[in-house]
Amino acid sequence: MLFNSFTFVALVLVTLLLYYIPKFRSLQVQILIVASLTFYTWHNPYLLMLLLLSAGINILTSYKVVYGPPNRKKRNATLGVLANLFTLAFFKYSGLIALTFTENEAVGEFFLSIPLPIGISFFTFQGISLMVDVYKNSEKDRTDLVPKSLLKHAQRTLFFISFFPQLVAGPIVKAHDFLPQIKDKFLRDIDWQRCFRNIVLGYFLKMVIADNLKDYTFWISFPYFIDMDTITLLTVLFGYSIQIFADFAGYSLIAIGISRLFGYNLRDNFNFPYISKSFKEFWKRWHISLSSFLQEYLYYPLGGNRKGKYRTYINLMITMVLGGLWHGAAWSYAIWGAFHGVALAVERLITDAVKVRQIWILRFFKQIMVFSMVTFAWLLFKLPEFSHVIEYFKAMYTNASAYFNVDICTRVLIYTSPVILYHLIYTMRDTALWKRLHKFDFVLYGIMLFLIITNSGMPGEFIYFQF
Amino acid sequence: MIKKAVLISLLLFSGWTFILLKKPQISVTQNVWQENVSLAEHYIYDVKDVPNVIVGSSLSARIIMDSLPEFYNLSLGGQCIYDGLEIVSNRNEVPKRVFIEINGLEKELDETFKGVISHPLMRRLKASVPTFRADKQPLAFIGNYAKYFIATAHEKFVPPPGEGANVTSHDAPKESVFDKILAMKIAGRSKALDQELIDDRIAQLGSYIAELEARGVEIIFFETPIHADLQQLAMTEQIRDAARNNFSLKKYTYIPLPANIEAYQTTDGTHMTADDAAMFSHFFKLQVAPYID
Repeated sequence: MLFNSFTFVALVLVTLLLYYIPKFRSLQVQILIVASLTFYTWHNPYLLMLLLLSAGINILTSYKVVYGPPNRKKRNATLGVLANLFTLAFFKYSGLIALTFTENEAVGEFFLSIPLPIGISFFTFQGISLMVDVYKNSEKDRTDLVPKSLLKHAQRTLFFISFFPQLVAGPIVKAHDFLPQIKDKFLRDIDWQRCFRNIVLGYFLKMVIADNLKDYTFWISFPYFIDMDTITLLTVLFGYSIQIFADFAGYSLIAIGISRLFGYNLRDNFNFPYISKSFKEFWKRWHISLSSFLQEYLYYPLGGNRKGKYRTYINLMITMVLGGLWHGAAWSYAIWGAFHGVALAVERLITDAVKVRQIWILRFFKQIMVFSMVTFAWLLFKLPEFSHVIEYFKAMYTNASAYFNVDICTRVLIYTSPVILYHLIYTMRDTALWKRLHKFDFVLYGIMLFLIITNSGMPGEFIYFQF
Repeated sequence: MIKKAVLISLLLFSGWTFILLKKPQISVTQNVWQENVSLAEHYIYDVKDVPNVIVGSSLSARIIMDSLPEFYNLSLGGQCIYDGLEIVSNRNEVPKRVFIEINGLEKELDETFKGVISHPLMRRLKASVPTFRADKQPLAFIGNYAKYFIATAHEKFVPPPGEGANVTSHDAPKESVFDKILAMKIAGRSKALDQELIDDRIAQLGSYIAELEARGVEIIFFETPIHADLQQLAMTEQIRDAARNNFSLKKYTYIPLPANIEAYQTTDGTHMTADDAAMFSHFFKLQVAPYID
């Protein structure tokens, strides 16, 4: 069920209606569980078994961690984490592992035929978050997260794992952020303006920007790009960089806005990442829920930056390579992760060794450099075959010409300009000019609403659904 | 704030609808997919009394329709015959004849496209409010003006705003690219497809044909020329045989391929060049002359 479908809108409206009827207040969690399971299994009812299995494992093991024998606490927590990782590995990576490490093509083909359940990368990570939080927290915090009643704990955990706005493409929610929010919700507490802003901007980014850009970035496909001129190749790649942002940030904003309608606050997932002046800053602004998860549950447990310079670089590389692989079962994603790991490590090395005054021209130069390198790295997402990435760079180098595809380039620039404006507005937020103009932001939202109705592209799946 | 934003959007919507009602002839599509939706919408909502419809893929989309006024070409770039047949069979008024391209018989119906075209609520809205149609998007018009401005400044001609759809190249690409693409297609077509897939497509095609024939539609098959190296490959022959075995020559008309098929040039092994599309269009016109009322 896509967010931009009439069915989804109907589901949200019906659920909202039932949710805020005073008579049903004590059933709010149950209503959301039913809505979430309906959402997840709409096109494939068999997925229900997987989701319930995953939730069941997390319910039982987390309960055992808190209320089981203290000497088995670590074992139960480890079991829970491994069960989540095994589920993820089996459905997502078995094909890649079999093809890479076995010579038996039949084995590889069998594992490749295992379907990839939508959202698995997200809800297994949330299960891991629950395990780690109940294991490492203080006794009081553990019992706050996991109530004594197993039935109540089961409901809360199933709700946490399956909550539909963020189930299939995030933001990844941590147990200690979400579970304490579970209580009765009231219509009077909804911040309608904030929800409206999130939802309208989210749908605009997804339906008007991303869904239109995809019809031009389509040409980043082998071998169709081989004889395209350099300017067009650069332009469509720029378009893809904006598309992937608009697609994912759009989805996250819709998820956040809809969650708020039900009284649940999810953290922002994107914070204007393309103005970043460093890769460290980029990862504090891009897919914040993932980078925060990896930092808290992987980078810090590995030692973070507390075990010396070289160990820090190793920890960064491990975290980024695994973070890259999380995106997909192909070595190109690991290479993408490694690229970011190397960039972070080199940046750290340079920053430690060289101190330069941050004049505005240098800051601007750094923004362009980071944006350019991030954009070139997105090619690994668009062209999972590494040889095709090399061909793309070759084409950019060899096809230099004064002429370019006016049609493609113009349309890409039209559909990318709102995102550029969006980032520009953010950089102006502290200026007197913006403070004066801000009171007219309803004009911008009105225009976005108009364009959502009249200028949406052909519906495309959210890019991050494939992860 | 919410009320003001909604009011602004309603004002813009009303203004744009007013402009479109005053100038119904303006139409811009931005890319192949939008062109497909626009072609489908035009057929569903605007076209009346056209006795002959062609359904196919981008191969048949190259047929020049200027001298075939009694035909509507519902061939959709990047899509297939099932998308076209879905549109034809869901319309109250059916044509006298449907010409079906068999080249891409193995492709799959595009469910997303079907959803866009056939959603019951959107169908009602699009029938009466042009603002919801694919070729009336405001940014498409802005894009066309911008494109013309840039092209003029850059000394590269494009059609003036409002007059043209997307410019697609029907010229042959560089030899090295052509060779790569042709090699890929030869590799792809050298192996026959899974028989279960072909059987499934034939069943699907049979279902559409049965429904249309029950409503009095005559079915005629045709094939567009492809590169000589692809003509006799396993997959090409499998598709051709599947069509002829299930829709017998005794019952159905098959427009033959041109006798001089070896002379046809393509841009990528399967799509005719502009000159050869013109040549094939002339041939096609002669073949369908008995069906022009």
